[in-house]
Amino acid sequence: MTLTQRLRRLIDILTGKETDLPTTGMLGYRSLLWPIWWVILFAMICVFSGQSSKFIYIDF
Amino acid sequence: MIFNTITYFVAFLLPAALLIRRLSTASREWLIAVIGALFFVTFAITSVGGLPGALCLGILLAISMLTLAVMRKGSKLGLTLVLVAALGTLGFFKYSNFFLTSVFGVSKVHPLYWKDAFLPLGISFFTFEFVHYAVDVYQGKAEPVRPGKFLAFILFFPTMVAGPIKRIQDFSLDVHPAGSRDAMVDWHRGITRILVGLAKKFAIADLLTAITDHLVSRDIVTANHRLLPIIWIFAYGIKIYMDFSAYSDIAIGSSRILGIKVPENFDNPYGKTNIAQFWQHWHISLYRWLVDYVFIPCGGSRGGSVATYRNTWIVMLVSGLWHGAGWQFVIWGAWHALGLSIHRLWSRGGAGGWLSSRMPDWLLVSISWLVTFMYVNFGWSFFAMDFPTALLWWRKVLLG
Repeated sequence: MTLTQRLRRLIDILTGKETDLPTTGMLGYRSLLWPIWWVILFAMICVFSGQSSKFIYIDF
Repeated sequence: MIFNTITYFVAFLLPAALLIRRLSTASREWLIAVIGALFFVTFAITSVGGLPGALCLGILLAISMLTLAVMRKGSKLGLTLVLVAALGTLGFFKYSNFFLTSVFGVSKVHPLYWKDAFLPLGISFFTFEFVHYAVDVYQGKAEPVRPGKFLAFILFFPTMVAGPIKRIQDFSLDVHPAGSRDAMVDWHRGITRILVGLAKKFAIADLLTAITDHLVSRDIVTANHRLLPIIWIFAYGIKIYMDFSAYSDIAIGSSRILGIKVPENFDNPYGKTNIAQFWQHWHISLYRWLVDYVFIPCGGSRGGSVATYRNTWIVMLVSGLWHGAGWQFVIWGAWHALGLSIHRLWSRGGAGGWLSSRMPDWLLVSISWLVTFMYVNFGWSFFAMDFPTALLWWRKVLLG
């Protein structure tokens, strides 16, 4: 696996696009990394929420 | 709206996710159908159309009953009835004012104009799935399903409003049992996908609104450099991608929490090096629907070059008109049809091979990417603004 492919897979795992998870290791589904990652995302959502927020495609 | 409301998560997604794995398959179908109906009524009342909007559920259920009844035998008459009912409903709600105004002139001079027109929630996506089911059953590509499964398919709330557009053959309610590792992974992947979608929406798409709000005639005319409107349209291009892919992330993540897999909608479309590849990776479920139910029935690429170009134009004009009932969307569709036609001419004519023998690969790939990216983004001018404003934008960009 090339560096680009590894990076792509890491991004897919972190963004939830990868459908499965490694059974063990830092990205395993019991890893402590995940709650930390979710807290970071949640904090981003809280910081930026409250703006005008209509989805562009929604009325079709 | 909807996916960024607490109501969606607390009143719909969470109860459905907690219940679905504890029921039998048949009960799951009805659970999804009932929650979907409540979802439709709730968000129609609060967001789209009010009480009349909520009553449109009756129309959708009537089309569902018709589809189930007539497609059991899969006759041509049955198919025609479903197509007329589904497309007629979409045409009435979405296009009647557009066509009447186009034929009879501005609304003030003709009495048929529907002043309080509204779009029933998710009407386009209901139509896509009715058409898909009826055509596939008629062609023998799908078996008729029982009423519970059909209603669960049609009223599946995570994808009801804006897709991804599902296929009945891939729609399975065989979810992993509660407490299993697979069920935990479903929750894990679903939560991650939803949080990423919400973060993309709030932290990127909504933030870009501060830039894209400049795409109005006053700001375009007074911009002191022609580069500014170009930056604004690039910001719009990133915003619409982030916005819609965020929506798809939340829909796909919600489905995953329920244990149900739905198709992907985006695969790095802005990283592509030609317009054909762009369309194969942008709003993928719509692209595939258009290929299967418009392009191929028109003859696809079987009738020679001229027919292929004609069918490409038909598909892109339909796609444009679907994106909005206005002439600027038709022009946006024509812009992409032109791009696809030029790409086809270019690749068939061997120009790519001629160029690749004269310049290094990395340079050719970089130029191809840049040209594609700019073409797609300049095309957003017809999507983001009404036609007179889009003309102003082009005038400013070309003439300063």
